[in-house]
Amino acid sequence: MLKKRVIAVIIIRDTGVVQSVRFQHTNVIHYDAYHAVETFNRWAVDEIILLNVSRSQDSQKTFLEILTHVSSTCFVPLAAGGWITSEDYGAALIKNGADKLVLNTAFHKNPDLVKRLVKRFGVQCIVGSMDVKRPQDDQIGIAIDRGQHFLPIPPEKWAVQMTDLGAGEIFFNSIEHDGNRKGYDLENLKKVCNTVNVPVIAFGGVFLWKHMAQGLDAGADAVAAANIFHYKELATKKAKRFLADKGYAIRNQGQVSYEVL
Amino acid sequence: MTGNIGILEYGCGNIRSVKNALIEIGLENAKIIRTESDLETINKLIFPGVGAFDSVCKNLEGKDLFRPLNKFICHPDNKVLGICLGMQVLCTDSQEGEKKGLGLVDASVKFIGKHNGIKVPHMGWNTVSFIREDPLLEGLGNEQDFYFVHSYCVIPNNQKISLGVTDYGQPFTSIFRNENVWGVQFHPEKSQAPGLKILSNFLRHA
Repeated sequence: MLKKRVIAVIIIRDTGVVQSVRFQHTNVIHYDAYHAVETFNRWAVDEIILLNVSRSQDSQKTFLEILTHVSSTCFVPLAAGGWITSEDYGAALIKNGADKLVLNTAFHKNPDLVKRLVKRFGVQCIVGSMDVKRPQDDQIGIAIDRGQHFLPIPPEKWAVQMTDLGAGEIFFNSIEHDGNRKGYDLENLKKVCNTVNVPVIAFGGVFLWKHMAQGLDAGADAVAAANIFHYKELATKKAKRFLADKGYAIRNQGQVSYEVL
Repeated sequence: MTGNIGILEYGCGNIRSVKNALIEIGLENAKIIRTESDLETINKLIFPGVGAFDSVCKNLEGKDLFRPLNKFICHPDNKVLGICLGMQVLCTDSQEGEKKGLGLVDASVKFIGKHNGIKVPHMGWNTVSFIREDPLLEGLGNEQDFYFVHSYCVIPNNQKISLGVTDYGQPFTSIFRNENVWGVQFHPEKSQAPGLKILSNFLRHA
């Protein structure tokens, strides 16, 4: 049976791993992303997403170096995103250890780039990231450019547009929920899950393991968190245990050991 | 006895992951194989592949690797492990493309289908049930979860080559072996300990 995935998101600003609260990044959690990736691998995480949220495109090179370094200790799928502004840079991320590319702004500003990356690497390689934004109570849409530019498009419509362009997976976040400890934006998550026919990763707002169960109940194929996983010992392992005990299909690799030559 | 091990690089996918996984299991010096003469220096080949069937075949043709690969694999002392699209290209043909595969395994590649509302691509961790004993599967018990990403799957004409089966909408062959040719539909290099164990078994016991 296909398992529900538990995904750790590692948010990189400049060179450090940061905490994200409504897209503000005030706390540096780690100075070394390598250590975080190694730890999550040991804690049976199912997948890792590495995001570059730096404010400047100059961060591309440093981020690529971080990715290259962390990929050497990552034996689960590794997705990378942030500042993918050219085909060459996307290809460089893939060549240096990314299994998937996470794109957001490009879906609006440069759909041609998305198409070229899809053609070159396949739909399974392209994750469409969306940030739901609610500027006022009666207004809903999505934001691009790291949350700065608002587009009044219903989130589920935007998700369909992204899959039409070739997104093989949707990474769903909601700015008001990001780092806010209230759980996912279930209302919009549900709409997106009900509309698209590709896997959906829920993100933004997990503080309790039951929030992840709520995400799965809303229809998500994978549940992701960032901040909380850095602060609890054995976090991803515990999250998976919680979900497995509740009856969700969760991967348990048991006691396999491999010989080193 | 591990033999001389190479990873095929032909422009389709991320060989770094495979290389990292081999380093993790203690093999620092796997050769990167790009040409016919590179192939002559090894006797075990890991054949990864990502993308689309035709683009993989085109790249192999463009780099003049089609015939040398056939020659390599036809030598019974040589062993090959195809991963994901690498597994599929070992087969005869695919619904995904017009090109012919290497034809080393009597099997076709078909769309995984949209049965019972399943999502395509088949993406994530799924169970492989091992249905035959094989050195590749040593120490893995009756079943394990591995990481899959694909939209097409292998349908062998002779089910006896199937070593492992996975259910996604319907059961399909996720591991096969035809004499000196093994194929896995999932990504062992991205499947933590069980995946590393498969690679380690290939190096040590295959």
